[in-house]
Amino acid sequence: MMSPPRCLQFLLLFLLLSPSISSANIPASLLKEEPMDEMVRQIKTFYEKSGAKMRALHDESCELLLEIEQREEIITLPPSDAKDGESVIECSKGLYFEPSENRLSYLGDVRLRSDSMHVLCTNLHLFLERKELDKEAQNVEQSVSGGTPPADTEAPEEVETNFTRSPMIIKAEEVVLDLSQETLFAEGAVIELLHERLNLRAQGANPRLILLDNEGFVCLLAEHISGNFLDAEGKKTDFETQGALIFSQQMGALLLQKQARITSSQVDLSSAGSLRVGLLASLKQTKVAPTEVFDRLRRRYDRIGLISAQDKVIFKGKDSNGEPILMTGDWLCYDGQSGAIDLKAEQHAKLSFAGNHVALQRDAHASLSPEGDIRLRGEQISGEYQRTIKSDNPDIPVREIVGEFRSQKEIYYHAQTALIHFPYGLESRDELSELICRGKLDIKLVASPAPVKPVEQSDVFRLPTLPMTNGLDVQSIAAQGGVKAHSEQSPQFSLAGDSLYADLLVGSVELTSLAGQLAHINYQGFDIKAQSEQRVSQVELLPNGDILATADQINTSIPSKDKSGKPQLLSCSEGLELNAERAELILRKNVTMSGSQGIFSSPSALSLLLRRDASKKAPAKYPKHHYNYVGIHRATSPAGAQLQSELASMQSDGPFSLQMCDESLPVADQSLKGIESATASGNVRIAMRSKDGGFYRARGAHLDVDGRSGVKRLSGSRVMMQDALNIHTASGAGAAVIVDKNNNVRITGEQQSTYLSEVDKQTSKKEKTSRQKSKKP
Amino acid sequence: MMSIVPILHRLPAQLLLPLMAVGALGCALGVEPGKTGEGDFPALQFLPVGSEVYGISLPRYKGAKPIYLIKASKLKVVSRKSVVIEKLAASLYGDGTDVTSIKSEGGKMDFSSNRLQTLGLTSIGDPRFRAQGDGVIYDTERKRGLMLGPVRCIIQAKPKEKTP
Repeated sequence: MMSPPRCLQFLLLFLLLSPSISSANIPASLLKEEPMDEMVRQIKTFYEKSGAKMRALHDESCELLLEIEQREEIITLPPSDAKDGESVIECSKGLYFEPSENRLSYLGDVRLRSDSMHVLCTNLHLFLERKELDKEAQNVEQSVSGGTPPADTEAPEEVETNFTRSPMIIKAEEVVLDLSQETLFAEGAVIELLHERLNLRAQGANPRLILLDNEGFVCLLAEHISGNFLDAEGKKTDFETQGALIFSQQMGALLLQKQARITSSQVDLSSAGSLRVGLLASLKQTKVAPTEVFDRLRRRYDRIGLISAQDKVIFKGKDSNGEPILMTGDWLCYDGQSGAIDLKAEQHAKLSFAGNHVALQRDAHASLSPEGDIRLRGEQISGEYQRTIKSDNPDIPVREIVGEFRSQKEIYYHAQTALIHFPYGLESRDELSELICRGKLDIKLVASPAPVKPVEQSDVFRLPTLPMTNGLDVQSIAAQGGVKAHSEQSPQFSLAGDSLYADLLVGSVELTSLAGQLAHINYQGFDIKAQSEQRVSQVELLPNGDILATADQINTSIPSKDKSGKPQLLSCSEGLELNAERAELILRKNVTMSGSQGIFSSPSALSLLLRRDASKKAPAKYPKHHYNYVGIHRATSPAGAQLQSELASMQSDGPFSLQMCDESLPVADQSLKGIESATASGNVRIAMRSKDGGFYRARGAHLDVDGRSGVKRLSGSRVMMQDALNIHTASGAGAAVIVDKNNNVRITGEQQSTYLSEVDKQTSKKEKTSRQKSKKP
Repeated sequence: MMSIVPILHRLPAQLLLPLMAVGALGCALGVEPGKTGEGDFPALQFLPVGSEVYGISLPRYKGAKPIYLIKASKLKVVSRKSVVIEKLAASLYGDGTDVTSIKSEGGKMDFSSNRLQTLGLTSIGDPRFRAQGDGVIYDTERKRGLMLGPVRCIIQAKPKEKTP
């Protein structure tokens, strides 16, 4: 009987160790290699040589059998006198024995029973240990009997070891058992091997079994091999393969050559190539004294540890929350003890869980850690996500929508912080939202309300922990570089900038842009654009609804209710502040405000009290973000203001105040529509269009405008009013220029003077006018 | 010449054994003790066909090396080439020092074919195994045999070092 090739051991060692390096980065070239195929080829060669001898043995055994004359009656054997530790072999036809060759051949319905192994077969060819070995054994026996008793006899019955009392059961047709090599070969139409928790069955064309006890090695070669493993709790894991199955008892490894599949109630893993299963022994098991035959194969395993699969791998399972997971790729390693999964592919890999689908292109690598971390790598990463939409209206049912996303190189989800990290940006969109980031992006999800279900150690597999299955409820977003986002969902918003931090739990947004870039945010209709030439621009939305903006140029708008429907457009420099509670908008410097009635500008700050639209409701999630503004209620400026409209203009360098009213109210002067009152101080200058198309100009120190009466009163210690040809001045007590609703001007004051120019022209013009009036009936 | 066969016809085995040893030794030395055909057992030249011997041992040597030793409580010469044996105990010598034994209630030995055949319950003993079956056919020349079924064989347990 020939010994197994030595290189088999090294190959086996390599195969068994290779899953243990799964967590490391395995080069793509290794994924192509099939060391198991080479090993199976050597096993087959080894077996073919031994198999030829097996067939010769069988022929020799039958040669004598044929010479036996037909017996009239067959005896009944006396009861067995086998002692403990001895192996009993029974057969029906006969025992061919050749003691000088250390050989026994049992023919017909052979049953071998030993402590470690039962063999049921048609013929069994047994090679005894060589006599030299017997002598050594006798020497050992003598030394034992005369000296210190062996450790086995001293050992207590219950100690920590991993041997089992159950024998291995082998069913086949032709079996060769070499006790000196501790090797077994078997052939038959069907071969079955039943171990403590491992059941194997080989069938198809010429199934063969090799069992090497010294190596702790079982190999089945067959067209179809199936089996199952029962864990310590009695939960079953089925597996099947084609070609070869190798079970290393010493290393606790099960290798399936090709078209392999392993299934349990929770996991279904299949591959076109090889599949390797690492088994784990429990710590406390009952010790059994080693016996003569095949005691090394009595190691018992309680759990499945590691599984790795190669070539067109499909992994179907459930996560710790019971949600389905699907993974496909070229190579997969699954740690059943921790729940970690590594998936790799040269070209395409896919991962689906909790309604999310991820496709990885080129050098793909997906990793699920025991802690629930997910790391995705690939030149292109794309897929679909699913998220739950809850409406503010309780009558509208909750629904799931599907969006798509695209990224590259890497995506990392850190479970402990519930953070999804996109180092190389993201493009995602669905029917209600869009998020684009060209640089780094961190999305923090809302942590699971319920803690992740602890997984019992007794489970066949520990499954991956994926808190993301609670949905993609986002807690915060931090993005850097080319950020663009919008949402049609309440609260509606759109934004664009270079950097974004949004805390969706409290409702805060920080949007910044680099010099020359625009920071734009439109939050529930409140629109702010900020841009600077030389510095960073920033727009900040606070949880209490306040908005702060800092930039060289800030533009915003306030909806209005006038007939035109055009919003009030505002721009300023330096900064903008919105106090949401007081509905007060402060524009820091160089303010310009334009609307349907005209343009207001001020070199200083402008404070605006905004009017609210009560019919517009606040968003349910952020009630303080209630931007229901429709127009301006009051505007004040501490130093300087300029108003321009089609009919009038005003300039002042002192405090300015403007009180607005409902535009629907009737006014005497249409140019003051919507204005309840206005005051301006300092060096005040006004200009108004006259009835004849010319302009009045007036100067004073204080301007009061009464919108209802349409009276504009410009007062001061010295006031001046001029038209195209005349200059009227008034000073002293009561000095004022009063313009009524029809723009008739009256000048009052203790001292008045008038400078007239081109009197003749004015006079002739006046006479002409009076003559025309007199001609009229 | 007066034949010694009638005298040997009922000889006790104690007297026959030295004669057989001389015969066997003669064979070993190449001395022809008498006329024996090919396949004849040398000692049978002293036993006439039909004779019965009690308590007999039949040793066989190849050179100085023993091949087997058959002991029988009763031996009956069936022909010059075969005998029938009762209460058979055969020791089969291999290359080493160990001996495989065959025990049976009865059997026959054919010296022309070097074949020992036992009948009924037969046991084989060896330092490494022991077996029981329904008779044995053993080829003493080729040192191989067949025990007929049903067979029960017990493989001896050997002391073994503790498994790591």
